[in-house]
Amino acid sequence: MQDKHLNPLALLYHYSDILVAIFLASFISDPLHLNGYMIGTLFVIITVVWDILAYFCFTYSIEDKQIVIKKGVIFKKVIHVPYARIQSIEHSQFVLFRIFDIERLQISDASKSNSDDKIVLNAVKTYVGAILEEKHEKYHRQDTDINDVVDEPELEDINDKTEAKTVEEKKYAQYKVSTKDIVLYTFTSFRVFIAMFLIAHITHGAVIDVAISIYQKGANSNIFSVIIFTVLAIIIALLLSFAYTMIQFYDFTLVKDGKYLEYEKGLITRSKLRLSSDRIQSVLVEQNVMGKLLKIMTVKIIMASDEKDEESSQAVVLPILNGREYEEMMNDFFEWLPRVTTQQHNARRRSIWLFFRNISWILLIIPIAIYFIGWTNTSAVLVAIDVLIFLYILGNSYFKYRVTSIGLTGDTKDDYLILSTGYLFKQSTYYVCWHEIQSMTFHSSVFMKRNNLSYISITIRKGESHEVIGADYVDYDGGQKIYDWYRQ
Amino acid sequence: MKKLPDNVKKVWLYSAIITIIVEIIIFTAAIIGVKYLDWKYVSYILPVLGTLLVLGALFDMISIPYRYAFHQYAIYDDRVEIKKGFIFRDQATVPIARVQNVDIEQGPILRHEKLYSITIHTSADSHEIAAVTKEESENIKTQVMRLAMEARNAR
Repeated sequence: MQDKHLNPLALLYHYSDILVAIFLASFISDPLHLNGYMIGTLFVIITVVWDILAYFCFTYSIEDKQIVIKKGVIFKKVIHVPYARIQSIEHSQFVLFRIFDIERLQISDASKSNSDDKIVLNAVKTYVGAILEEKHEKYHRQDTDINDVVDEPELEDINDKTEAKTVEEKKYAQYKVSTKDIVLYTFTSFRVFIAMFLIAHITHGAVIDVAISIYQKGANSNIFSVIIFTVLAIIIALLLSFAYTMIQFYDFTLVKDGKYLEYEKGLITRSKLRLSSDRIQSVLVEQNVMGKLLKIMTVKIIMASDEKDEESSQAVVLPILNGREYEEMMNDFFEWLPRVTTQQHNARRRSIWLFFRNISWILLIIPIAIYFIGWTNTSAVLVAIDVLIFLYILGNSYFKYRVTSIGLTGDTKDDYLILSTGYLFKQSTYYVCWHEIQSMTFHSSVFMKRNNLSYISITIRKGESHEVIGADYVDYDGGQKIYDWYRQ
Repeated sequence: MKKLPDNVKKVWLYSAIITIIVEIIIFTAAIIGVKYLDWKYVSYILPVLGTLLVLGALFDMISIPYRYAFHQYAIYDDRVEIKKGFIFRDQATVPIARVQNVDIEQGPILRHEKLYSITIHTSADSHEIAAVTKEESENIKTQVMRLAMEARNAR
């Protein structure tokens, strides 16, 4: 296919340009003493003409070995992407475009180019995606055949050791999320509070004003209306966060096909991504306090890609699993991940105090403010807030102490480091293979050494950048053992 | 484990002295400037902040021999190790196969002492060796890059 244009529907993706044009026009027409409507119309016309020109200058060609994109109205640009370099292709389809059989393709390669050179085909027929997918797979396979001789046996090796019998069956696996799961996910994540916060934020506190006025009225008349309002507010927030989760995760399906993972999700815009398990930098299991009580967790994978966004750097692959399913699903999808822990070093008991101390300076802000400003009416409220913060920090320190640990699945270079940390009442457990750790640092200050404490941090690739994860205040000798394992 | 060249102490000394001088100049100017503005709280904050920063730089100056004693590096066939810090002791290990590139840099003070600083980049982070001599820097660069190539080709 040579120099094909996108489908004209691609123009619809530029609706935001028109909004920007209108905003800009309203912004400059006033100080220049010009008719806002005229300027607005002019700007919109210019934008539309520009977008149409850009549309006609944008072509793509699917060649034997590469995809070539030509674009630019004034400055012409040609981008070549060989199929072998493509990391993954993300398909997303807006629900109305399904009728036209059109989807949006986002091709990510290993380059660290700026966002301007992102390869996005806004609207193409779905068969284009299928062709690309096929070529990508073909070249990827060739590529691995030639170069990565070591990679394959390494994975097989672990298979052989742990589940020699069931390897054949594990080539294909499927996981589907049900509405019940989504409800559970909504109720156990702290999204409700985030949703409430967002509502208050977007309406500039108007909602809170109404709440306060009702509260004042209610306090005068009866306590009943106050309770009703509170319950109503929580229900609305829950529904909104449920709707949000639903839009994101509706009919979430994860399929494992050989060494590829493919997932599909979304209600309004359906997106589909297929990725090779070679690209996985780390497997992340998340569990917050609620999840700990109900024994449910979320599994994510951390990948290296050329994009910043959450989707391509830290994808949710198993949104919600209960304890029983967990073992089964991990066996199905990540059978190469050994789950035997040969050694584990937890945070020392002393770390409760240390975690507390490290953040406790925040508590000083309010007393200092009161000292300088003097005792006013709001001071009592501030002191109450301080007490709440104190309790929160204390709880968080204890939680951190309980969940922080570092462990290994074995002693060789093919084994995994299991690093678990806590943040804001959420436990994150990372499984990272020796080969994916970019570097490891062993910290121990003079004081920490005296108390037999150490801090281990590792760097892994995530998205187009990196992430440092660390286990704080673990046993000195334990930390040293982990460090020696990495140095072998 | 190799130590850094001896005259890195001089480099650190010069840079500490320059930092102290610059900080004193900036904060004296700022304090005098604020005097005329009649800013109530700022007039307290600036001297305190200035004193703290100068004390920090002074501590850096005093701790030079200790930092020198603890800053070490080693290049093995399969990994680079860097040790740093006197109070906060860090040891970092970077496998050679993870190394993406090696940067050699030279600031004005380093140039005066004919030294180079080396930064080893992986695809995620970077690690610095504060100062090495010219031939050592060339050695490290060629050695690390050669080993990195070998390690990658072996994979």
